[in-house]
Amino acid sequence: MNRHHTLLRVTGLRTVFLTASGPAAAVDSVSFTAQAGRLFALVGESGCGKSALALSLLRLLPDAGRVAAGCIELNGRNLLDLTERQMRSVRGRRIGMVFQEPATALNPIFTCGRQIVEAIRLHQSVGARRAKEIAVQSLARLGVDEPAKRFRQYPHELSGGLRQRVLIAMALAGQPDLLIADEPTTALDTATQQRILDLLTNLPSRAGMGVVLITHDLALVARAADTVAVMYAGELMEIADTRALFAYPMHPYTQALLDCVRPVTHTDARFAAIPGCPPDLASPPPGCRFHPRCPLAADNPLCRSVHPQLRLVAQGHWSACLLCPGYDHTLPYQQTHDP
Amino acid sequence: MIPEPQHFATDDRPALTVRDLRVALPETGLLGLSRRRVYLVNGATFSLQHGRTLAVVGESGAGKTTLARAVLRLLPEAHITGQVVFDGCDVLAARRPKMRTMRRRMQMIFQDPAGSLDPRMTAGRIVAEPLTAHRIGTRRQRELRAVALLHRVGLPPDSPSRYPHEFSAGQRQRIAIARALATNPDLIVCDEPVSSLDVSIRAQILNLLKDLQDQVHLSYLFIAHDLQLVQRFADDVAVMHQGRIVETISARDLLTPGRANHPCTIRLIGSIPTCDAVGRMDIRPLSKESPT
Amino acid sequence: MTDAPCIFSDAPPGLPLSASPWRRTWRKLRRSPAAIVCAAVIAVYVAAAVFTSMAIEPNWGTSQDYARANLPPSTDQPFGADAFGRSVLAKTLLAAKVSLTVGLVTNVIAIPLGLLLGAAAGYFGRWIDAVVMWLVATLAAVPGIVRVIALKFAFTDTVLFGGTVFQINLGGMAGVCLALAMTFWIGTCRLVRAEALKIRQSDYVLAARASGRSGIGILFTHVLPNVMHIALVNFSLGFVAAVMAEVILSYLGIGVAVGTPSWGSMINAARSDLIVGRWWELTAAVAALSVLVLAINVLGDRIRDALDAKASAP
Repeated sequence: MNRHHTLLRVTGLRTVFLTASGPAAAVDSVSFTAQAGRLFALVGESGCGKSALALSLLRLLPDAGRVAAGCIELNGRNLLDLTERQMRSVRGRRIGMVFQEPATALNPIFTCGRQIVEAIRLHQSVGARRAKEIAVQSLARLGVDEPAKRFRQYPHELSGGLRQRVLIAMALAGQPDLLIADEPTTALDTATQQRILDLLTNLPSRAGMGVVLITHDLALVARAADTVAVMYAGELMEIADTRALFAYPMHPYTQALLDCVRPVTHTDARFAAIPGCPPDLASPPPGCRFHPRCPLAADNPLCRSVHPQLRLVAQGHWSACLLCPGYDHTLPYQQTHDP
Repeated sequence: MIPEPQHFATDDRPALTVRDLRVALPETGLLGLSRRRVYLVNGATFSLQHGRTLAVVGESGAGKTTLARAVLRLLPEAHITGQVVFDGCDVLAARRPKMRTMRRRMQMIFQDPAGSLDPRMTAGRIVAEPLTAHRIGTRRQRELRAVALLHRVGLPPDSPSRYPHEFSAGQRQRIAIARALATNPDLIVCDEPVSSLDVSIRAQILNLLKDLQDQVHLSYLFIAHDLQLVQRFADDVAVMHQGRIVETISARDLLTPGRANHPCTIRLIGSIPTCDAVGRMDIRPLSKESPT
Repeated sequence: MTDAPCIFSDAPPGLPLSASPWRRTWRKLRRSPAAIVCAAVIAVYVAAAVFTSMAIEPNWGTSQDYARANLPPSTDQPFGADAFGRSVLAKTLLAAKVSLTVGLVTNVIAIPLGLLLGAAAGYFGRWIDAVVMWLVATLAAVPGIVRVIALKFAFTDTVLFGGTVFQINLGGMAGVCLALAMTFWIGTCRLVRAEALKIRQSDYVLAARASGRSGIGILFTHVLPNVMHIALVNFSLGFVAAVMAEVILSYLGIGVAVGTPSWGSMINAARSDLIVGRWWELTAAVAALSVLVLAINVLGDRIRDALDAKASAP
C-alpha cells in the first residue's frame, strides 16, 4: 500500500446543532482528505466549527447535534453507515482523539498510569503487567522524563505539558491509523507548545499514521503541517500545501490570519486584527460568509450575493473566494490529492 | 464624585518598585507543624515607570502569577517578605483602610475571561462593582459610568444588561478591562490576559490595551509567556526563572541577536514559532458577468 | 484595517433578551410536562387545604355525628366516616393543611439558616468554619429521629412571647417545625459550604477582592447568589422530609396537638381499626401522603435537571 494512501475522505459533511435561535450548521459542506504519513492541519477561529467537525468524525456529537448530510470514509468504509457498536470498535482502534483541555480530560481520581493502561487493555488483549510496560515505553517515547515515576502520579501533580503527553499516550494506545488532535497546545507556554508539536509532527513519519491537527494559531502549523485547511463559519475557505498557503495565500481570510501572526520588525505598529467577529451560524450572512469582515468585499457586490464553493485554483490548491485568480465557479469540486 | 485621572507632573518617580520580594506558601507537615517553606518567588526586584509597560515572561511554574498577585497583596495566606512600593506607599505594610484606598489605583485583569466574571451578574453590574466597593457615586452615576466604560472598550450598547455567557471570549475580556478601568487606576496588572484567546482576537485586545494606555496614562505589569507578542507590546521585559528575575532587557533589544545574555532568555527566544516567507494574496478583478 | 471600538453589534442577532441563568432555568422547567403536572397537583393540595381550613375547620371540633360513625365509603361520604362520624375525606384534606404548613415553615427556617452558616463557613474559613463545623458535627452525632423527638419534648411546655398577641405555643405545630428545622439545616449547610469553598478559589472573587470589596460584601454579592441553586433543590427534598417526619411524629403521638387532624394520627388510629376491617381511614391518609410526596419528588427532580447548566438542549 502506498505510504501516503488516503486514510480519511470527507465529502460534503454537514453537521447541524439545535440552538436557541434555530438550527445552526456548525459544519457546512466540508470536504477534504487526510493521508497516512502526513499531518493535515485545520485552522480557524473559535466558533468556526472545527471542534464540531472533529466530534462528527468520531460520531461523538452531543444530543443537540447530528450529522445531516455527507460521507466520512475511513479506508473506504463510510463511518456514517456503521452502528454504534461498530463505531465503538473504530474509536480508539482506528481513530484516536486528543481532546482540548488536558486539565479536565483526565480523571483526577485515578493515576495517569492507570488511565493509560485502561486505554491499552481496551484495544489490545494483554495482561496488566504487559500493559504497564507498554504504557511506560509509550511515555518514554513521548519524551516524558522518569516515565515510571510519572506512571504512578496523579493528573494534578503533572504540569500541562506532561498531562498533554499522557493524553497523547492514551490516544495512541490502540495504535490507530489516524490521530485527531483538537487544540493540543492551547493553555501551554510557548516552549512546551513547540515540544508537543514536535511530538505530533514526528508521528506521521515515524509511525506512518495520519494526523489531523486542529488549532486556531496559524503560526504553529508553519513547520508542522504538510497540508493546511482554513475554516470559517462552518465552511472551508482554503486548502493548500503549507508552503504554498503561506507564500501564496488565495483567500482574504487566510491573508488576515497570516497578518496576525506575521513577524513584524518595528515595535510601534499596531497589531493586525480582524475587525468584527464570526457570524451567528444559525443565520449566516448571504453570499460569502466572510464578506462582512473582508476588506475586499466592499468593492465587489458579487461577494454579497454569490456563495462561493471550494474550487481548485492551482496545483493542489483550493480556494473559496470569487476574487481569487483562477477561481471558476462552474467547475465541479474535485478531490484529488495524488502524492 | 467619580475620580478623575491624576496626571503627574514629573514621570521620573517610578510607579511601582519591587525589592527583593519573596513569596512562600505555607506547607504544613505532620501534626500541623509547618515544614520548610517552598518559595514561589525568590527575590524579585524590578521597577515600573508611569505610563510604561513592563512584561514579565518565563516558563510556566516560574512564579509569574504568584508575583502578580503578591504585588497586589491578594495572597493573604502566603508568607511575603520584601518591599513593594506603589507611588511612594508601602503596599505590604499598609494598614487596611490605606490598602483599600490604594486598591482603587491598582487593578488586575485575569487570564481566564470566563472565570473572572461572576456568571450571575450582568455586565453592567460587574463593571460597576469596584465603584460599589468604594462607595463612589450614587447608583445612577455608577450605572452611567458602567455604560460609558463598556462603550469605550468597544462593546455594543445593549451589553450592560447581558450576562457573561452571552458574550464571546474576547468580549468577556473587554468587560474585564472595563471593570479594571472603573476607578481610574494608575497601574493594571495583566496576568496573561490574551493567552487563552484566538490569535485574531488577541490583536484586538492588545490594541485596546495600548490605546487605553495612551489615553489614560496607565502603567501595565504584563505577565506573558509569548515573547513575540511581548516584544511588540511592552517597553521593558523581565525574564523570570524559578522565582527569580534573571534578566531585564528593553523590548526593542529582546530579539536583536546577541543582546540577550541569560540562557533562560535565549531558550525562550528559541522557542518562538517562526513562519518564513509569508506572502500576499493576488486579487483578480471581477468581470461583469456573474460566475455561475 | 481598523478595529476602532466596534459599534456594530458583536452579539448574535435574535438572542432572547435578558437570558439570566434563572430565566433559562424557568424556561426549561416550563417545557417539561412532568413538572407542570406535578406543580398542578401540588396546587390542588394547597387549594384544598385552604378551602377546607376556611369552610370546615372552624366547625371541626363540633361536627361529630355518632349516627354515622365508622361507616364504610358510600355515595355521600366517599372515604367513609371516622370514629366520630366525621367525613374522612374532609379529615384528609384538613390534614393536608398541617403537612403543607409543616413542610413550608420547617424549610423556611432551615434553608436560610443552612445557607448563611454554610456560606460563611466556606468563604471565611478559619474560626467561623471551625465553629459551624463543630456545631454540625455535634448535632449530627445524634441520630435524626431521636434528635427531633428530644427537641420536641424539650419544647413541649415552652411558650414564646407568652401573654402577647404573638404568643406561639411551641407544644404544637410550631414546636414540630422548630424541632425539624434544627435538624434539617445541617444538610444544606454542608452542601453550601462545599460549594462556597470552590467559589472562594474562583477568579471573580479574586477580582472583587482586588477591587477592594469587603468580605461581607463578597459573601452577599458573589457567594450567596451562586449557591442559591442548592437551596432550591434542598427545599424540595426538605419539604418531603418534613412532611414524612411530621407523619412519623404524629404516629408516635408527639406531633401536632391532639385535636388537629394529621395523616400521621390517622395512620396511628388505623392500627386498631385494621383488625376490625376498617381500612378507609388508613387508605385515604396513605394515598394522600403518597401522591403529595411523589409530586414534590418529581418536581424536585425536574428542577434539578433544569438547573443543570450542561443540559443538552438550550
